[in-house]
Amino acid sequence: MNIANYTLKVKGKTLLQDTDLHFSSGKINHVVGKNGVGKSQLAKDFLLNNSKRIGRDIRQNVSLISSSSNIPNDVSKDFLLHFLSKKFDAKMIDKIAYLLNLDNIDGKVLIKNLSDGQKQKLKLLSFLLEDKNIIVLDEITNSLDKKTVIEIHGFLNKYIQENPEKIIINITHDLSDLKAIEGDYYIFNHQEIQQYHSVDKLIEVYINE
Amino acid sequence: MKLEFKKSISNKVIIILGAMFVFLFLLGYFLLVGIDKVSNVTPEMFFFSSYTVATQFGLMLFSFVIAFFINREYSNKNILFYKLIGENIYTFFYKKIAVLFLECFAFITLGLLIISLMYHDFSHFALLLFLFSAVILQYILIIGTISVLCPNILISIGVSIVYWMTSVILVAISNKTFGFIAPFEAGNTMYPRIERVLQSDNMTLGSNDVLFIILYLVSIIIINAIVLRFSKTRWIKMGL
Repeated sequence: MNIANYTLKVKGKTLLQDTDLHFSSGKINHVVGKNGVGKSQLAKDFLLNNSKRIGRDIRQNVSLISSSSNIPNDVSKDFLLHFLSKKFDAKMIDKIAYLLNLDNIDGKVLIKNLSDGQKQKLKLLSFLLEDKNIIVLDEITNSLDKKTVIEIHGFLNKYIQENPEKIIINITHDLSDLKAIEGDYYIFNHQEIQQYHSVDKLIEVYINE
Repeated sequence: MKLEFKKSISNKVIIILGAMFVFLFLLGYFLLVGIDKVSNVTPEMFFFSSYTVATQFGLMLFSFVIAFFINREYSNKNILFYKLIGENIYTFFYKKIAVLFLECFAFITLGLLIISLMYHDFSHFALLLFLFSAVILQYILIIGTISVLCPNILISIGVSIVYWMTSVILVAISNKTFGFIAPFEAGNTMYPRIERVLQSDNMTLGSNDVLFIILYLVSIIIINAIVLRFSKTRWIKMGL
């Protein structure tokens, strides 16, 4: 996916200016940046096209998994999975559920009463069923316990191996993501998105920013 | 629809609606006994008093639960999930409206049935079912339309109340000019006709009134469809 001269302004504030977005398929494209630089706005822009630079082919082929995209919390896991199985391929549900280790979630409890990690896994399952080619993950490991973070890292590694045609953009400020999942590394820096080939170099820039 | 029914149960929307209708009929009774000092409440008086409560206080009573059922999806950031399961703004809205209306319809039927059984009088049952359903459907559509446009529940309730007060004032100024805005309002011409019908052996309203009510509801649905047509992007933005 290539978007040249990308500029993103939100409420008069310029977040990105004439930068090139290039994200590869078959790998996780990590995008890091400090709070307030516009990471989540970039994620939303893939759907909302506030920048007027996101083509219809991209907009219609994006799944956004973020704090802006929740699953209903007033139903139970069992109801959700049964409901989704009427709309999507049941085999795919079983497969993703297995990879995310959803068996240990109580199926009768309302989702609002589950832990953040369990909610996040159910959200991942739901939105990945869309089977869109571009998947934008916005801070999906934020404030989760270490065990769940490791499970999600493991899941993403397997998922991208099995779906090399997909472009996964992982917007994060959790540097452990970069070490745990191999991929391409980008950073929000002075209204641009710059690529680094070395994780350590990127972390150094991030910390000293 | 199944998802919406499930949500209305787990969010206790159905229980709140039931409680609202119990309150509505009880208020209808106690206004007669307590304020009007009626010692012998006839079924006609009871029904008309309850109908008055529905038309005069209904919007206040129901605005919270209707706005909650819609605005909660915005505050919970669930709109992308609705997109995921193939819904659009129209199916999202009309399924919610249908569930709210069906549940209200069930409670109206139950309430009227119990009162009619108590008095052994079913003479105006069909008419009352039609009138109460129309009044409630009006509220669901108006508050629902406002809620789908507003980012949060407080704004939805506020705008709904302002709309209601404006319509009452306009009808009070001139029911000839502004009567169409609030046909069920006590200051409007249909209200005394309904009272006369309930106190007579005549079981139905005049065809003009029935047609007027249907036309009014169809007009709200058309306005609602136009509003939804221009709110597609706003719907997603508010849900993100």
